[in-house]
Amino acid sequence: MSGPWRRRLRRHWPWLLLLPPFAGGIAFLMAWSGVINIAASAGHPHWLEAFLALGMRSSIQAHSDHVQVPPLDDDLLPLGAAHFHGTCAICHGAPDQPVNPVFAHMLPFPPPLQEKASRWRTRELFWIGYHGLQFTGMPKWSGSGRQDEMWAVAALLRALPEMDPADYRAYAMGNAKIEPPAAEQLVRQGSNIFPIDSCDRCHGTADAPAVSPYVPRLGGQSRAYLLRALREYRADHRQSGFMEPVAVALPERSLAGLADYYAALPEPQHSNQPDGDKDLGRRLATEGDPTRDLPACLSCHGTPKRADVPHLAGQSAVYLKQQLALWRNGGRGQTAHGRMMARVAQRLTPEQIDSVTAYFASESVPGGLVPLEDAR
Amino acid sequence: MKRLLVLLLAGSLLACAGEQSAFSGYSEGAARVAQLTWMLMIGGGLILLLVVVLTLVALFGPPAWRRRLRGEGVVVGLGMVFPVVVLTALLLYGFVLLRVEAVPEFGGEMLRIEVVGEQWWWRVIYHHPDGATTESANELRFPVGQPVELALTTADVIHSFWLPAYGGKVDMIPGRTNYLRFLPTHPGVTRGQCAEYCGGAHALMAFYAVAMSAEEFEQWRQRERADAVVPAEDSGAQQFLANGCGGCHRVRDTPAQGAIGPDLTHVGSRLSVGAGILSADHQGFRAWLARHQQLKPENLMPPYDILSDAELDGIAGYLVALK
Repeated sequence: MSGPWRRRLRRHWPWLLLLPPFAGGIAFLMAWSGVINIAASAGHPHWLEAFLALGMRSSIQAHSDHVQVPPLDDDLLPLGAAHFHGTCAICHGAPDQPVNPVFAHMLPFPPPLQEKASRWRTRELFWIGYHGLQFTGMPKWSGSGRQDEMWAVAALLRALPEMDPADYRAYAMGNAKIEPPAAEQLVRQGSNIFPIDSCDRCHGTADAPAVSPYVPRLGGQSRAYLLRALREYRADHRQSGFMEPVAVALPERSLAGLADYYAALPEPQHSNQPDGDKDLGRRLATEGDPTRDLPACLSCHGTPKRADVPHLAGQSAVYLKQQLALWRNGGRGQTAHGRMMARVAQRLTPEQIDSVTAYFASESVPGGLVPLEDAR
Repeated sequence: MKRLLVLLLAGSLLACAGEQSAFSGYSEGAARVAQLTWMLMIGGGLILLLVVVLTLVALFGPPAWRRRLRGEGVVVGLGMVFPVVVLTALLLYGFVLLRVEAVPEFGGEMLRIEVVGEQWWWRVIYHHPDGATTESANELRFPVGQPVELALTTADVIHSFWLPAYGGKVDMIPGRTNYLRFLPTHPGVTRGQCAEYCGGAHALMAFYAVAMSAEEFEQWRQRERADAVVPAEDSGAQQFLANGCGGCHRVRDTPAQGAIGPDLTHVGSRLSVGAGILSADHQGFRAWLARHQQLKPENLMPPYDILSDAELDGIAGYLVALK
């Protein structure tokens, strides 16, 4: 800078302090006057589109930077696919299923993910799905604290670009048997052939076990417990991004019937047999570990037990482990039952968790033969 | 002002008697300690009084008195001879007091009780003369006239066993057993307390001690050794089991065989629930079951918010019936 300019700046610099309030005033006037057209039909000019995309991409990159990707196995794919197909595909499309035209007219419009998911890193896909995106219509995950569920969806999204439509369909359908409707049925009931609340998509049936060891075995479970679980999901007390939307969609009058159905269902056990010292597991289940103030699991889960406490025998070890992890990190402490179990779960060592879950998974229950208990 | 002083004095004197006081002296040893305490306090008080009087005389007394006080005799007498004599006498008295065994020779057997400090309650194990043991919690019972030996240990951190009316304060230290012996001479119900900070609920870790006549104690012991008296068909007993209480608590001769929390075989005949914080009646048990995490925060029992009113009443009724 030359001499006179520097002198001028030195004398008049306080005027610069007025710049920010002036800019703020202009911005306020623009918002207040309503001169900006925020209609989706108005669209964005290219420069604004590029500017907003830059802001979004940078924000996602910066905020997902610390996210550690856990090991993601193929058993997560059916969960991710069933949830994606029931909840996300209507906006984001799916293999052999275009984005619904209604949602394709959003601004910004939701990207069809089979084409676009590969643009993002796995941790970014997780971050977007778990936290949602402001101003885009992308909601945050509805089960708070359930990162584990979003990771199942992230595992699917990672595999989605390469996925064969038939494979995708198999994952998303699970045990559900849904035929394309005949014309007459289409006329009467519409094409809503993939309702979000079809349980068979994930859970076991009389012929087939649950689609993944991450999914609990419901057949033969205590009726009162099943009813309690559904009500806790509906009331947003038990957290799950998978189960809450399903449970809320169910009509209240169907809940008891559903609980009856699963309590009586002779569901085959999942073949997945985990490692773990089953003898130690049996000791923990029957005697506990007094040195760690750990009561025997069967003192509550054995006989006699409260009707609304679940049976554990024959349950999937992977599922049990995941629930214990939730109790330990505070993700399942919102209900009276959950607060109680949280205290106990925190006293288990990792080795004890492996052992006791392996023990319960290896115990067979006669499917569907558990007597119906009265709901409380 | 005067009234306030009287009130303060009365308050502090009242605190000296009562169920948790080192001035009670309900055992031989505790009585001697109390006696020594009184002697020191009264003696010390008299000497202080003498010093104050002499100081006042030195400052404001008639000239003749002040002259006498200045004499070498007073300095030698009160400054050297008096302390030597008094302190020597006190030392000898202390030696005599200390040399007397805490528990005098006794023909019969000592009553042996094991007390284990746990966060935040007391596990009490009675060793009966025939070698059998029975477990109780948060309450000590012993007869008057028979020496008691307490074996003090801890299951977790350092606690301190303090039963002021009968004995001193003895630490419970991980990895070792400390002993406290005393000969109870006065019957009565007194209170003890953990006297070493041991974590969150330390202030709510108390217990009751009941000293009874020999016959009463023998009757109590017979009852204590017997198994639970409530029929298994009792609905409260079933609710107790169905809610998993037996995973941590034992009720002898029932499927409830947990060893983590207090033994409840005769909990209905105890004085308190929650380690000296609630009375062991229907209301007390109910309050404990419903709100124990609020009443005694951080205690290791899981919160039982799942219990309905009917279950609270059923289980409380069962516990009361466990006499």
